[in-house]
Amino acid sequence: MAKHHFLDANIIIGSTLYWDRHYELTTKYMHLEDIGRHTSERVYDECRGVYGGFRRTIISYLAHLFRNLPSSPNPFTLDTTINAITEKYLRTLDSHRQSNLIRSFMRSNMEDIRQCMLRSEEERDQYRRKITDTIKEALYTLQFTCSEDTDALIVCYSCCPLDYTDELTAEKNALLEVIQYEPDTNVLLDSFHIMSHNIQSPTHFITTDKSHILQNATAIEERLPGILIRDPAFFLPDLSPIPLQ
Amino acid sequence: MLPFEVASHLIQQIFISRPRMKLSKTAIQKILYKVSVSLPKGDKVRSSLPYYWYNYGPYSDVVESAIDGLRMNGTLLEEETHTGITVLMAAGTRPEGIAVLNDASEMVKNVVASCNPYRIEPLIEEIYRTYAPFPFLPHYKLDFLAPLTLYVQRAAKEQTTLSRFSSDLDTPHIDALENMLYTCEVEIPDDPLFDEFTEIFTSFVSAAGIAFDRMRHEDPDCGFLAEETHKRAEEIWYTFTRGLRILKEAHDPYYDPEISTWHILYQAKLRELNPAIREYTRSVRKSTLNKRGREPDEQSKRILSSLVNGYLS
Repeated sequence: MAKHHFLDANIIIGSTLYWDRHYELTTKYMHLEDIGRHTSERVYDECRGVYGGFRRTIISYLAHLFRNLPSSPNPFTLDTTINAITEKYLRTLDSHRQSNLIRSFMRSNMEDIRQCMLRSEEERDQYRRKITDTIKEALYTLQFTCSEDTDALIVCYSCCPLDYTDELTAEKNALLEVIQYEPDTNVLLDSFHIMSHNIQSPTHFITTDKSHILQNATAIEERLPGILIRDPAFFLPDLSPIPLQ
Repeated sequence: MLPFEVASHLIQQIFISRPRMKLSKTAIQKILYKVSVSLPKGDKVRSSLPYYWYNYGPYSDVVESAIDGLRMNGTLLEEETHTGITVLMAAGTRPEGIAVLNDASEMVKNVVASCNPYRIEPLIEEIYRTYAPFPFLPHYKLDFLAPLTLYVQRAAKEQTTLSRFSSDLDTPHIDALENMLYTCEVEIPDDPLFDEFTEIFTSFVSAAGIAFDRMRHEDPDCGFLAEETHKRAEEIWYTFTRGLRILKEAHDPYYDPEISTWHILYQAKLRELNPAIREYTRSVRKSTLNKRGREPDEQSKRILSSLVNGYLS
């Protein structure tokens, strides 16, 4: 069995929550031993972009709440007020992902949001600072976890082409026909490039992406010999795999 | 009257208001901008002073051409100050009064009387804070980039400590710089034109936050990181303004024929900015490789869990 794994962004981001039992799958997977874990700078940048996007989305949402809250909010109807302002804000967003993020944030942090709305501007700034600091610490952890150091938990390679217009073009075109999504195609090509140049042995591509990658696993493996598409549950037989739709 | 003629006449009115005054081109541009926005919308003189928002605030090709014309025909004389700034002054000839420009000429007198032409910064600040089409402009240019520039200049001369809050109000405070950057991140104009710019800017903000930590703790290489952060922050501004002027809120209709050229120039600048910011994030990362994130407390766990759950759902 291949002992080298290339990690997609959703695995790295999911394993941020090593304390969260809902993410048993990715966090337990990351605790498995005797596996060489690898990723590309493209994936690393994607993870950074996701964390940055969290910060931007939530700070923007909080700024909207602060601007639209009445100057002396009624503490007894505050939740209703916050919900109404939030729903109106969500209707202005084009992105479902942003909406999901805000709903999830609101659900889990309602008590902190409520307290924040009742307090001074300075205390609201402190809460905003708490959020930006939390994201920054996650970025530090990402940076520490994924690096070019061969002893890192996840070795990150910066040798992959920026795009595959001059290299692996046949493979790129073949993958695009199947996946029809260039960002995922480029990540798969990164895994193939790193396998061919650096690892030089069969490599598992670990992902939880159903719609583009897992359900096209066979077709991808035919086009990228040596790459084996797997979800993390494959290595954790006690846990259920991610169901394909 | 042609816009060029209107601008030429009003420029001369500036120097009539204060004879022997010496002004930079920037000062002339800003004074006439203030005159323009003080006139009623739809006013013919106002439409003869078309502006667009660019690197140093509102800018007019018409005013620029008029200045050059007056310089070339000897109406304005040019000289260089001891600090290397080029200034213009009237040669002494007075233009004939033009009735249709009487109100605008009076406005010129009022604007010149209300500002100190030798210290134009307060007028520029007033223009940014009152008239900028988006809050990003004054926040980024005045509240982030200007203090960062001052900070880097003073750090280079070793006139500032890199750590905590100072009671000297002229010393940039790193916490304030970082907070302002997070404010700017959510104030980028909400237009598809800025989608790619927003992603690049977010990448910069993430890296700059870490660079500020290095500066805050006076780590080795923090001087280099401060300079790099400043350099990239400027590149970001010059890229932003190339896109900004394309938006209808940021230019007068006189410049509509320029839009397609401006698009090409903006896209070219974005293509340069992307690798520059990638290089910057690599530098910051190299300098902080061994720092591990702190163990999150309960509040941070709640925040992160909700975000990751929301993202992966």
